[in-house]
Amino acid sequence: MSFARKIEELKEFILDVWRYGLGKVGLILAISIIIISIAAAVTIPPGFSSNWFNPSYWADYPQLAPPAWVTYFGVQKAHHKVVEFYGYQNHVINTGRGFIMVTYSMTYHLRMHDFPQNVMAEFKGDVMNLEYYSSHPLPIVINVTRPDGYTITVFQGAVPTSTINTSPISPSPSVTISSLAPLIAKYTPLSQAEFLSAYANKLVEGGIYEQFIFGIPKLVNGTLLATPLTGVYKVTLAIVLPSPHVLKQMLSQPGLSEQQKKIIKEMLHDVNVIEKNGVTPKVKLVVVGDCYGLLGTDRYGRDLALGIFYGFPIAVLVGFFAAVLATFIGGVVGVVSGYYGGMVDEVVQRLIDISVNIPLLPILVLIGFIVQKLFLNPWIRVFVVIAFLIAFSWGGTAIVVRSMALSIKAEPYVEAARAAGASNVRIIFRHVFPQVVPYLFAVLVFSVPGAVLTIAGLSVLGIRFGLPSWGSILADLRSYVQQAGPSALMTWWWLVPPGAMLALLSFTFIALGIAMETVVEPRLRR
Amino acid sequence: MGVGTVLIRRAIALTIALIVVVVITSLIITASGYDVMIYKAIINTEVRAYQRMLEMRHVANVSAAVEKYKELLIKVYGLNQPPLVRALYHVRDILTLNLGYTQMEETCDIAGVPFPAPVSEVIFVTLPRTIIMITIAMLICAAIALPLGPLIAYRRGSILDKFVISYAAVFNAIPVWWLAMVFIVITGFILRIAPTDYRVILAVLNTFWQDPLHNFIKLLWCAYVPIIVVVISFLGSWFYNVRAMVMRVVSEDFVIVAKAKGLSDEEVAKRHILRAALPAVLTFTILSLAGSIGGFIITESVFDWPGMGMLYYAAITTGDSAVLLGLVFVTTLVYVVARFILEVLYILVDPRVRL
Repeated sequence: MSFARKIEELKEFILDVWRYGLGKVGLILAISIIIISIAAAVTIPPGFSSNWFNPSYWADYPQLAPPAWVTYFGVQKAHHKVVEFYGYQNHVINTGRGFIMVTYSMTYHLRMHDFPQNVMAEFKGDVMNLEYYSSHPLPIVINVTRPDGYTITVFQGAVPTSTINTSPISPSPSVTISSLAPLIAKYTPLSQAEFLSAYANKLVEGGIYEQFIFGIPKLVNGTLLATPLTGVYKVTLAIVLPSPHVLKQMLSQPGLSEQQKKIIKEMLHDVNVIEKNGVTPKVKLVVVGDCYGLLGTDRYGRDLALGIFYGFPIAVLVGFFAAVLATFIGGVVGVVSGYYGGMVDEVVQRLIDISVNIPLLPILVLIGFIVQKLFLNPWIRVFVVIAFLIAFSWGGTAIVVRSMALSIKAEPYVEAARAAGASNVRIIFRHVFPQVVPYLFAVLVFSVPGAVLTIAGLSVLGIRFGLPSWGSILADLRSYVQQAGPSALMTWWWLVPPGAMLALLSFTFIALGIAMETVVEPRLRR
Repeated sequence: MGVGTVLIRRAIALTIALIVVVVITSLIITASGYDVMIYKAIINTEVRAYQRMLEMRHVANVSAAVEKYKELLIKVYGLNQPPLVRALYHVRDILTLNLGYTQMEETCDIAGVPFPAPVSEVIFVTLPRTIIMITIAMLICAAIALPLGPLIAYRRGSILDKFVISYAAVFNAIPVWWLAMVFIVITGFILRIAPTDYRVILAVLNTFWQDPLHNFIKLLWCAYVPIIVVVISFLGSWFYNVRAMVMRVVSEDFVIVAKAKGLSDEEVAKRHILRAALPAVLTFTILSLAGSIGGFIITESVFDWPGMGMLYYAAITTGDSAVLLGLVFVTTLVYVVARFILEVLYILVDPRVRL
């Protein structure tokens, strides 16, 4: 058989499949899924997998937020806004007596009857040495200016250099509360002192003090509540630094240790850069909204759209790896046992007997728990479980292929080939295998979803493979439900997309499999 | 070969398969060191508690006593034996029907009996709950698909046929445990026509005979959503399989001959098609029902339904190897017995096998 003829046959086969409705749907979906998977595999940022499982990476994202588009349907959810300052733009440098102040500010328009979840500021790389401030107060201030003219200071103080680069700066309860006092006194009958002594703690303990930054306070039956205040807000981050003159004076003081001198010198360098070149630290200001992106976020603030997108190549890889191997083993064993018969056949039959009797899922759950304890690499965990899945699931294919091999063996042309002196291996490869291949192709496509759904199911049961797969997104939802009660399932944007993607992937290959089976099994044909 | 010889050979082969399944499971448990990991954790807590007790009583030479106690525990749990020997102990116990006692409280919690309980008791308390949910759902599928499946096979290519195939493709693709989650949200929270917490089934079943009528209603209230979910999920594959099995026969030569002879459609269906398709359909039906006994681990855990699947899960996560092996033995035994019954039925329905 020439190569060109093989291509021709393949083309015919695909056209045959295309003729069926399910075949059309399956082919289109399968091609789309493979293209998306390749795109995701190529664009996946390095370290995505470890970032996915690192909650602090997602600290400046809203938590449990529905997709942003729900606001178009009238759902009142404050939107999310991020402004990044690249170190040479949109900041204001004020030089005062003995200090330099760098100010970054963003505006935020609250249109919805809802509170943003939080306000945050982040330093992104190239942070100046602020170690000096571990003993000196006031280098960083975050203010929120409200539409009603009040300005709330939500953060004021020094941030250790060790964490400034890794974790965002969020409002400090004590600073915010004391800054809220005049506002409360204005809107409610409470005096500032009453508020601070009797109500402030409750707001902090209840975790609702952030609402008052964006809300109008109200005293209802002795409880302080906030209603959202719509309008334009201004969020300002200010860094206050000593001027070069002050730093030089400090350096000339006697009795400084080498360490202290070093810190002050570094600081002097940074301040000079700011003053002369206007280059300031890179900063990101975030008003953490109450809805996010295309598919919302989960309890850790993880962007579910990213999880779904980068879950594609994982699912496809798991599915194809398992399907190819199981089909190959089933095909080879089936052909060999059908063609040779005798002892080989007997042994294979008994093995199949055992493999169909085994309670497969419980054994896989057991294996899953074992690999979780034995291996660290997520792919090894997945592949060991798949290996066991394959070991117990090639039987069905082998039974069918064996019966096909039995009937092919009895065909006259096989006898003719044998009479002409062809070896068994040659007959198997030239005559038996080519006839089984179309069927194996259908089986291959059919068995793609099996492994994907099994691995996803095991994840949902609590086996942590450590891959950011669709199953693991659902598993996180499951564990959240176990903590927070079944009502947590109401987070539809978390529940529906990963399950729907699993179903879509499976449907694609089932539809394609049904169409292929109809093509290769003439008795099912119309 | 006579009928007797055929059946005896099959019985022996199936028994061997059962034994091998038990051996493989025991080997996985022992050779992977899974039981050791769990037992070591238990021994460590017990030894620590013992040490604290001794220290509180100011006993002299605590460390020696603790060491002795630890060795005793290691012997009790059989950790001083090599994995193969431990596996063989398990196999011997199971095959002499000595399923032993539960080792962990969690497995007893699933069953709702005080700890420790005989493994057989735990299993037989749990089994009816799985039958109520999954086996009944399978029976409903069978009751719908067995009479209607052949009708669809005759009308292949029709709108109905296409609809059934598409339905099967869609609901085979949707994981049943995910459908269960979605149904809990829709029926429990949005429509409020079903419970959101299914654990109450435990109390209802354990006190069933005190007030059968009232409890039966409660049982229905708890069970109807899980049953519907399983039926929706599996009806498609039942239809698809029955249809395919009948369809294979419909295009056989002898059916065409029967039609050519001028027999009526009804007669062809009854005398030729159904009779020829019966063994395959029987196999599918009986094995599906037998397989349902083992429960659906993931779906039961989503519904928090304390059936066989949850018992499996509790046994695996807590390392209760006695319950785990007992479950593997019982579910495999049921399956093997079902397959033997099938062998007998084959002989009854298909005279050719008797030759």
